[in-house]
Amino acid sequence: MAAPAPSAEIWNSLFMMYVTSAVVISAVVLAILGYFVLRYRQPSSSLADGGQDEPEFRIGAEPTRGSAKVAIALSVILGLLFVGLTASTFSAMEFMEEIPEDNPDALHIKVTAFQWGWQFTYPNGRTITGELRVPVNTPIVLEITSRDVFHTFAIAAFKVKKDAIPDRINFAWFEAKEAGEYRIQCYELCGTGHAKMIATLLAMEPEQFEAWYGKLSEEKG
Amino acid sequence: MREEWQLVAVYTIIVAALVAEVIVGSSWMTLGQTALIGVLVIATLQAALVFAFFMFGKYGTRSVAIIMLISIGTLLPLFLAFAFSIEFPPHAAAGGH
Amino acid sequence: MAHANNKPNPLIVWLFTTNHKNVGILYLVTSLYFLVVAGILALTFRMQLSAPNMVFLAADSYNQAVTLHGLFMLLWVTTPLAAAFANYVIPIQIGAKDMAFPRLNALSYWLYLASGIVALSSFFAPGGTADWGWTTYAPLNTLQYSPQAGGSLMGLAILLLLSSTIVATSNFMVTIFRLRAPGMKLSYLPLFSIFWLVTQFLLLWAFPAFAAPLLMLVADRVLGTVFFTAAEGGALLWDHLLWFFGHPEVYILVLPGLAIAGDVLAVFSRRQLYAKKVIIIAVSVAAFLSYIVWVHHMFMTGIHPGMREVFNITTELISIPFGVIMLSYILTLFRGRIRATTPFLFALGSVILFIIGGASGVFNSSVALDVGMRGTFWVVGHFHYTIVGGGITGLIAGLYYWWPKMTGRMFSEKLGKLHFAIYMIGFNILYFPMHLLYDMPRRIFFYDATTGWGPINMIITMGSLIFASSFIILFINLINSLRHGPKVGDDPWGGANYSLEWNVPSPPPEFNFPKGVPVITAQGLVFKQPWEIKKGITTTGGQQLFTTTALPTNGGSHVTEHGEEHGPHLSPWPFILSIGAALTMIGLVFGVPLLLQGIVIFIASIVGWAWEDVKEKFHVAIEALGEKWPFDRVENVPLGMWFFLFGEVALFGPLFAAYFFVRANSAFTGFAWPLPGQIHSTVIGAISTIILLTSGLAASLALVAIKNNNQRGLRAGLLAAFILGLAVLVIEGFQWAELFAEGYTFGTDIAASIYYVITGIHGAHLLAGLLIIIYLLAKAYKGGYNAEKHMGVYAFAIYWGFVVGVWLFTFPLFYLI
Ligand code: HEM
Ligand SMILES: [Cu+2]
Ligand SMILES: [Cu+2]
Repeated sequence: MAAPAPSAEIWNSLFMMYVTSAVVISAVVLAILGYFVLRYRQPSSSLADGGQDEPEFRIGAEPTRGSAKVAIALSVILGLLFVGLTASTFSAMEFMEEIPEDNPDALHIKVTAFQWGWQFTYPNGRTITGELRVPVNTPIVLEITSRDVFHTFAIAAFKVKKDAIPDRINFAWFEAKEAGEYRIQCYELCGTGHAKMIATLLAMEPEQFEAWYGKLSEEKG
Repeated sequence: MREEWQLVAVYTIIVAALVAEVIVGSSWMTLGQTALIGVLVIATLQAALVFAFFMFGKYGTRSVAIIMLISIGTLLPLFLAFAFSIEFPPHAAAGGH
Repeated sequence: MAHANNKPNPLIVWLFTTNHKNVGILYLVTSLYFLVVAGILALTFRMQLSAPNMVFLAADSYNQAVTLHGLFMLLWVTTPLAAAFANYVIPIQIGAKDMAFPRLNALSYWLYLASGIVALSSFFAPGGTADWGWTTYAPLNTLQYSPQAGGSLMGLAILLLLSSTIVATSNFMVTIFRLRAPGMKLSYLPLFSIFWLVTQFLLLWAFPAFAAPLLMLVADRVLGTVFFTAAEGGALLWDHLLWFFGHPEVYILVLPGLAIAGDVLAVFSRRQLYAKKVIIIAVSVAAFLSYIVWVHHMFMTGIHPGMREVFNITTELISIPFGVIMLSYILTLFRGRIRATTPFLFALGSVILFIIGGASGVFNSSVALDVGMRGTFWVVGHFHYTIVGGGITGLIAGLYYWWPKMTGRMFSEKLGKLHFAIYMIGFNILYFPMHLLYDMPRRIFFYDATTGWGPINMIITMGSLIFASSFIILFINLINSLRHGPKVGDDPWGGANYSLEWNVPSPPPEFNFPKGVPVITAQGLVFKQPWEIKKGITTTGGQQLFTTTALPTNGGSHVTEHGEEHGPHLSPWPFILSIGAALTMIGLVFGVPLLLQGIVIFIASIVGWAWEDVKEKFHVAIEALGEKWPFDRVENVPLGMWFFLFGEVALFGPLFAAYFFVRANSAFTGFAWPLPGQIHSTVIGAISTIILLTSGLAASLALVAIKNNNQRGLRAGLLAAFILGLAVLVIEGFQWAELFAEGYTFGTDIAASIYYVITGIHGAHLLAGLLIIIYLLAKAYKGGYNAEKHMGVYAFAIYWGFVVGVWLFTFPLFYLI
């Protein structure tokens, strides 16, 4: 299934990369663990199994068993893996965070969170609550703040998320690839209305959007 | 008696440092940033003397001093993170961007 | 004076006990009780989430239930459950007769219980309790948005809990460092003792750092300061301080459980731990790293991009030491002779679940993936795998493992294994599907059907019922065992070669080692009589075993030739003091009469406690004959004070950091920070500083005097320190009064807020110091100190020096620049 926004696409492929490494590594480790347990399990759970304890199984024995090489090897393997994962993370981040400030086509919208709802203010001063209408295939730059408490603005389907903090301003951007309705929701507990602090993102074909908003290019001049 | 006199001498040094601190601090108009740093440096030196002599840190084993340093060291990242959170994210009152 | 042979009434014993094993059992019962309470809360909100459009809990009840569930599980369940075992077994594992400070140990427990009761009672306050989630984000946590009194009460309850913890931490530090048996090096200790020591270091610096923002929050709510409403402080001030505590806190939660898992794996495979030294290094590295990863909880706050990358990397790094620990655990089993008993199975479960939780944690370290995960059920899944899966499961292994030691009776293996099976199945049905809900916000009480989250939530709720029911089996098993379980000997598991507790009777007698002092030699464990030890034995390395002869620690204990002659092991004051503290907290919110009663009881019990000391009524022989590295030269009482003060550094440090943050921010918010001398007179400040310094000098001179057995010098020094200290407090009081008269109050602005809070907390420390001087003077006039015995004076001099030292920073920041 195609992702509805470039940010979500990047996120999904990064996620799959992490899932793959996590599953492979934990599967190997858990398999070794399972093997040891089954292999070395004594048939009876009684103490008197006749076996002899090794001499270093004793209070006050120097901890001599084992070698640090295993730990070093593991650290190197994990370290290398993390170098790879981090590099992908940073390049994804670069894309997701690089606000297209100077892109002349970008549409700048102010987002104000409040208990409990979302208010959107367009460049022409038009202000609506509970609904964000944007044209598809246009970079949208959001200036996010809060009027009262800490909220978190998110479009889950696009993997866009940013905290709305009183007295501070945060930036986020996205671009919708497909027209449709998406859910904007708050992701930080902000009081009794938190669960219902939802707005609708309406991604529209450019013509429809202009019919609702007016000519974009003129407004921005 | 030696120990008593040593304590009194240290006390005198700290009080003298206090006087210096007040002088440096009061001339912030002329000294600016330097006064700020000067005052904090003097306060740190005073506190180190208090640790070594009034708290008898010098009699403890070195372990006590080391853990004290680590205690203070854990705070360093907190100060740094705060420093980086002053301009980021931008203040709304300052007009955003 | 009561004597050990006329047995007191059992109720009195439980209320006034100071024995570490009794205290351990009190911790155990209480923390399990809170586990049930917080678990039932979880079931109620799981019910609410089971299906879309559900009406079971209203939004506000839901939020309160989630908040209480989180706070209780984190603060009143997990660590106290670990503390139960730590109290019970660590003194035995290290080879001591009790904790270093038995009464303080009892005090920790009673303060813990009191704080839990205050926290629960906040539920019944008008308007309910805290409803802002355990993270208590600002400014939702301020009166403006959460006016209910229960919220303030919860803040006070947590502060009370933190004070219980700092007392316990100092106590455990001294105990583990200085009360070890002869030959018992730190590295010989089982993992539980070692990890618990590491946990104490985390607690030492993390919990006071949490007290700082909580004090500010309570000040905001009760006094009207403006830390979390002003633009200079606000949300980010809270966020940093909370998570600076919050990340070390998660290791505080998991380390004890993981340690038990390691010990149990070793004992039941009858092999030495694989690469124990590496494990110890790894856990220390993880503990260190835990102080520099907290910003991963703030990736979405718009922090400096460079900082985000740094914390991304530090967070990933932390999975390496944990990976190393897990691998060592697994390799421990290699060529072992494994007996799959109930404790073993739970230890195994802890490792398995922690590995899964660790894997999902790597996702959270990625700043890019965190865009998706932050604030969702993915996170809830992740941290339950680590904290509950790794931590609690390990603690349950410990419960089964030490149960026969604590009760002298065995439980049913069959029921234990059944518990394990249902526990693991329920756990994974409950928490694994949460990872699939990585779009669903956490802490929502409601969602509609269009979200598509319904079916998975239904599965999760089913899982929660299965998981919860497994605990019923646990409790049935334990209660049954108490009554009908077969009696066990010293060593039901074959752990005698692994750790000391399996070399003493089950349950152990009052002073743990009936066969004599345990001594670790090159050949293994032997028991010696105290007088044999004084003749000198050499350890494996050939060095002298002990540097000092038997040292009384509680102001006058007796170690006689035939072993033990003890004063009563009971004291009423820890219990009574906690009642006073709880009433004081409740009174702060609900009015003066309660407050006054609380304060009166509080002070009366301090006086009673001090009197016990002055008259030397309470003494327990906790001689320390063995290993004390690296604190051979610091006696117990001063060492306890040092650790307390290291914690104090972590309290004042964040307060000063807050000062720095709000002041630096004021340049951007347009708030004009008062100019030097504008509000606080530099001259008066300087005079106070000189007086306080002189008081510090006097205290130090008093100590030097008594070291030379100069009684008059001691009294004169203490008296001078008292008068000068009082003068500083009075001057400060006048300054406050004057400022208030001018209308410059707590809530005037952010500069006023930070001034009042820092000087107020400092003033409280002054006051406490003055009370200590009164006690010292009383004892000095009764001739309680001499050239050999003056550790109380020493500890006070250290404390007083610290109070002076803090002031040396307070003065310039408010009066000079
Ligand atoms: C019966 C067992 C448990 C169930 C069913 C359960 C379930 C849950 C759920 C569903 C949440 C998320 C609620 C929300 O965000 O709306 C939650 C939160 C939480 N749980 Fe549990 N949990 C259980 C046991 C535990 C244990 C044993 C611990 C820790 C030792 C724990 C610690 C937490 C914490 C810290 C939170 C966060 C609270 C907050 O968001 O403020 N839970 N639990
Ligand atoms: Cu919200
Ligand atoms: Cu963390």
